[in-house]
Amino acid sequence: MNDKPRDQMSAFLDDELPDGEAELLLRRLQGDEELRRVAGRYLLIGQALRGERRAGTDVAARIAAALDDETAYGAAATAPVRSRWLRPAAGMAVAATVAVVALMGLQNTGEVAGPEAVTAESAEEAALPAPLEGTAEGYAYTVPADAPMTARPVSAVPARLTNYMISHGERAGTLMRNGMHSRIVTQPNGPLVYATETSTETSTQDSTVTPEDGRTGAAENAADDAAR
Amino acid sequence: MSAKRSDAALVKRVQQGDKQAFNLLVLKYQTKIVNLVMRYVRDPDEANDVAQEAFLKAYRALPRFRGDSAFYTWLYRIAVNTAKNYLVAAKRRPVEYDLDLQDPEQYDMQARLKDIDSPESVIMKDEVQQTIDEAIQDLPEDLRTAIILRELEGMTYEEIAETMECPVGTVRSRIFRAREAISKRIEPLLA
Repeated sequence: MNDKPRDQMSAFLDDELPDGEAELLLRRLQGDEELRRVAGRYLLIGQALRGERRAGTDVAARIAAALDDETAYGAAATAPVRSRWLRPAAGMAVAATVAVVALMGLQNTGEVAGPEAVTAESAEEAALPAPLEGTAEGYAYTVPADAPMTARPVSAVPARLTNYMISHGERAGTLMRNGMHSRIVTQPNGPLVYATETSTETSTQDSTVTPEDGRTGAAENAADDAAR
Repeated sequence: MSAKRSDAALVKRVQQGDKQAFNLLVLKYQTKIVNLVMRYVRDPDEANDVAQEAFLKAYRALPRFRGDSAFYTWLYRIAVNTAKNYLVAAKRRPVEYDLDLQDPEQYDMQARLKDIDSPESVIMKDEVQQTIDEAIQDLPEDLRTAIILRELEGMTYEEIAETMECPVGTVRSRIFRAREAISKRIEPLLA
């Protein structure tokens, strides 16, 4: 070994090595066993000079052996941090993908998928079974109040919101032809059904924003559910 | 580089996954920590065990160490708590409680005075210690002065340069050469 790393190590142990050099030295130290031995001897000299040293005091070797069983932080500590950051991003990406697919399906098949297709809260909800048509009761009203959120149909629309949407569709008809909400019709004592005509001017914002406070329909549903 | 920055650099390396950097911290502080634990646990073997446990606790807690205090101060507190817990588990009382062990600086001063002057420390001198003492005496005057001012007086290179009336670079070189000369003498003993 040439003198430079030793000289740098000597200065480093005295807190006299510039930061840039110190960083390079420590990188080298990781893979240079001889340099580690040199550092150990330098430290030993200082401890002996200061009278700190006791014969038989050598826990370093035992700790080095014990560290073999310990996790190195570089790999272990960063993974959870990364996943914490990625989790919401991944959720948003999935939600956006579901929304795009739903919209494309809406345009290509000519079917109105209903409000859930545009709000698309999460992939989990999108994966729930489709509501049964033709049931005696509207599925929005058949979910027990104490049922968990995941057990509820995605498209369960509160009656108040349904009435608003119908009213909105009727009045907005003069302004926006073929608005999606105007296609929602109800059957007496029956389930909500959606018209099969293609909505040519479907607006995500229109279909999801509630009148009172501007929250999305999905958020409103969740708030309502929580309040019940 | 200001004081404690080398520790901070080593801690940062450990947090990035470099275990060897932690081993260097152990080498740097093992004697201080074992001496500290010996204030609580008189038996040297037990003290080594407690010190080892304290270092491992520190390693495991290092991801949460934010550097608000100096690494040694943080390590010191871990060691004190580990020793106390050890005694509680063993249902024994500390050997000494007259020292203000909550203050690392005060403890170091008291420990140094005690260890240097006590007959015990003379008896504890082993071959390595004797070889280092002899090697120091054999050094040229300028090298010996430089390393003593650094290691015993804790002076910075700049302060040593003023004292010895020479450039800082010369101080760095003298200290390095002094360490090299002593290191070569003890190397066969440590192999």
